[in-house]
Amino acid sequence: MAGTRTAPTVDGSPTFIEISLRWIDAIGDVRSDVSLVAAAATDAQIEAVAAAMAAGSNASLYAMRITQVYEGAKSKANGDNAVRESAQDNIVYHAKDTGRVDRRSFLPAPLEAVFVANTETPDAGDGLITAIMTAWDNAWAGTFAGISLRFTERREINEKVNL
Amino acid sequence: MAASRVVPLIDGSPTFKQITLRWIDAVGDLRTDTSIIDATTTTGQIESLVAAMLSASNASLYAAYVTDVYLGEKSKANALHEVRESVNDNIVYHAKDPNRENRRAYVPAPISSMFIDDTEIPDENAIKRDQIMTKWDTVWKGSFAGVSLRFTERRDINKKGEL
Repeated sequence: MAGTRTAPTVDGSPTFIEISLRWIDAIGDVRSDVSLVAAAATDAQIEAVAAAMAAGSNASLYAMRITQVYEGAKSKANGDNAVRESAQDNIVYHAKDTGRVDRRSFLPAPLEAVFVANTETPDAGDGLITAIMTAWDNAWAGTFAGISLRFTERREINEKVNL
Repeated sequence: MAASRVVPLIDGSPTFKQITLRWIDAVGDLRTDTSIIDATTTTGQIESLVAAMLSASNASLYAAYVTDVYLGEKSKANALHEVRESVNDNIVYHAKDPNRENRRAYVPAPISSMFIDDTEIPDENAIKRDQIMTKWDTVWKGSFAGVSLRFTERRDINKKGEL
């Protein structure tokens, strides 16, 4: 048995949409603003916002992010009290492409069934694991190929310094 | 004149996509993971990815965010050295609906023609002419109506405490 999914089906009809506009001005200061918009807002309507906003500003609009949010009930009662129940324990799937670009996916609180019996070694041949790797490979596209699977605790890292 | 827009058109063909998965486990711990995915990934492929992840975890998946990212060149050379050139100076458009829900939009570094001559008062007619309010109202949908326009400096606020 797995935890209960409360996130709605990802089908193009999100709970709501967020748009983020990112700006840079003539002295190099940057800002970003986020606004909640209706789930039914179209790309063309959002483009019209971007065009109208860019036309009214001395700053340069350099990026937009349009996020479809599919959100359900957030309750610990929907998680399973089982071995490896913590969301901080995860199986990390690591893939690389021919340009040495990395991708990683993280399966939190993995089920007992995805390990080699009586070990903490992920079972690369398990059907649930192969389905996960295939689904990620499809989403990453390109020439990504799996490098490793490992079971670990999520690392706490210090604050990043941007260079 | 406004600054250069370098962000690509919002036309359903983003520069890349991101997927964010949000989990809660049986003791209430939370985690969020984000991965860049290919720009051509379909809704169906993302849904199959979400389903595969969920079926192998003891944690509950309560939200999935699918983001289209439109990214252009981030350069201060694309912005204008003008009066009110800072991205921290903005015109704030504030709207409410009958349920007293709020929405705000921010025009950073607003061009001079958006003000009543020789003042720092936003010119409602100029802003209407440029359709900024109309375009925001369209994506907010519902029955939002403008309450105010004001020119101000962006406030720095202290860290929010969640209740």
